[in-house]
Amino acid sequence: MTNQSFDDFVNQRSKASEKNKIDWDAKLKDWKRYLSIFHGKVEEFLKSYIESEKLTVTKRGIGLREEYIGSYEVDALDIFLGDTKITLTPIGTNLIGAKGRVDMKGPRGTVKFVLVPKDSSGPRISVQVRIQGEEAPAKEEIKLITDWEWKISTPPPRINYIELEEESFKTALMEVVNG
Amino acid sequence: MAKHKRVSFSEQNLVLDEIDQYYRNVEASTRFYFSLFNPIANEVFAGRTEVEIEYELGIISEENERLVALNLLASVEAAFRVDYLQRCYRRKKDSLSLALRTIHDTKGSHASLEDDIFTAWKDNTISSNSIVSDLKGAFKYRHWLAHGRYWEPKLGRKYDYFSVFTLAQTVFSSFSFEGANA
Repeated sequence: MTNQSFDDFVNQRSKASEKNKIDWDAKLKDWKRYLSIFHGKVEEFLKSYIESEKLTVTKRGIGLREEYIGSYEVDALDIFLGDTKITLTPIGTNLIGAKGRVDMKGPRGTVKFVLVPKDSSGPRISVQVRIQGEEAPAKEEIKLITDWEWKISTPPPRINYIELEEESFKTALMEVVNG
Repeated sequence: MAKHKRVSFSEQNLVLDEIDQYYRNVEASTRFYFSLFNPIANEVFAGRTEVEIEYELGIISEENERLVALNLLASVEAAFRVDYLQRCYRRKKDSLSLALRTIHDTKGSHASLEDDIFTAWKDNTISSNSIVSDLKGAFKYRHWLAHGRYWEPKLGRKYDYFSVFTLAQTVFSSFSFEGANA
């Protein structure tokens, strides 16, 4: 083996690693941006009740820690409805199958909001066994997800994603309070 | 193939619905125990504040989630291993089965789930996302749980019951497994 071929090998590996490097700062920034969109939606859904002082929504800073990203602070939302408190707690961004999650917890249950691909209706993917001799698809061919949207996840054992709209949010809120 | 003893399937492996039903029963029972509806609440929580009881409930709930997540991942492992063996026993001829049969020739039923079986799936299937990487990550979590959690794990991701169930549901609804039954 020549020094030249070893040089090429090292350069190739180092270039590949550079290419696969994840920009964790950008990922965190993006997560916080989507979280702020989520908070905006919740406040919009409850606007008339907040204005008529039938319920209150307050923000509370919480600390999260995720591997590679480290420790950071985000806002959780607390909804006070009579003597009932409902919390909307961000879980994180580095999750399986989702770019983010917020758990809404009330006295009678939890509903999960997930940030998933816009066209996704549940945790399903396509897996096909390759025909013998068929080439593996190039990495670039695997579609990058650029459109993300907050959805409500139905609980196991049949997880499906429902559009997050005023009606579905209010139903979810009643569910965690009344069971 | 004959040099490796054939595995007889027990058919006792749990399915996701059963595991989830178990989880919901445990979770509901735990919540009831730590609530004021518990008829012996005054006795078992004497002298404790509501915040303290809620904190204790949080710890128990997290532990429940971890134990059931371990069971979910065991169920995923069983599905991959049964599929691996069946593709070999049935002498299937697609590219995935041929790769698995090559592994079986040398390792029999002792193939490594992550290094052999997952890699064969990765190399011989076309997937719309990085599911095999997600599985390999989740099985680091499984090892950490199964081997006593004595080290600080480098998992890269947050795992809880919901995220592991999401992965398991993705696997069972997307992978064309060869089952234990003929």
